[in-house]
Amino acid sequence: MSQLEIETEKVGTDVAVATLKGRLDTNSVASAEKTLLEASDGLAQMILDLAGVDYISSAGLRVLLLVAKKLKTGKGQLSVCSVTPRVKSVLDISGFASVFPIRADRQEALAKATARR
Amino acid sequence: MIPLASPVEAEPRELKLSLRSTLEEIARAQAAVERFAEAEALSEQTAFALQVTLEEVLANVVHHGYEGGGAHPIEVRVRAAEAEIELEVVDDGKPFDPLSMPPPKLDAPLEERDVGGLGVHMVKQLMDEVRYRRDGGHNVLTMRKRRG
Repeated sequence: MSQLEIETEKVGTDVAVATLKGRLDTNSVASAEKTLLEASDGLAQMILDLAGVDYISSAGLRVLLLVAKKLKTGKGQLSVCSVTPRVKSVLDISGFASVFPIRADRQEALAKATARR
Repeated sequence: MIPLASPVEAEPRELKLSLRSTLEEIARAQAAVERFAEAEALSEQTAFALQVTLEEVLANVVHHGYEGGGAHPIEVRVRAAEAEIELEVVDDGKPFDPLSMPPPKLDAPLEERDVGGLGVHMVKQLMDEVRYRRDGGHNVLTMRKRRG
């Protein structure tokens, strides 16, 4: 049973937006990790749209951290946008504001991502 | 006429779950706790804190508690009192005091952030009180959250 759906959309050659829907938890992270790490290959910017994510645990944070680290190794950057209040509270108590930028919405995230290139 | 007990003096309501030490059991426990939270009319924030805490604690037990693997029993008890919710998790895994874990480096730059160790930190942040004791071959983790 998959509790998480991920849809990835390329914007230009090296920017992608992944839209996540569902729960980022212990039972969904293995497939999320694989999908997101593969999708981030060779990207300069990856944006995770988390509007549809209403639950995240440390297992989910771990995946976000792994993707952010992988992108950084290739001189890329991860950002997240449209974070629900619940997910924001988890990002805040875990100090993730210093790990990647948290943008208000997809428009802002895309504008910043393409400006940085 | 026999007077009805006033709600203030009512016995705290309890939810008891007997789980096996597998990751699949986490979703089952969370579903039960969600129903309990709804019946208790807990705020969304409190219910969410309980859900995340339950996952963190159970995942830790399943991942690290048993060297030989196999399915072990884990007992979960949720007790709703007037002012607070108490969550207790009892397992027969190897002794593990989560409170003894060093705190993660929250302000470290991305390169130095460790991918582990966040679960216990989150539990401490989400709950108002966390206590550990080793009791007769069992780890007993007792957590309290004020009703919000």
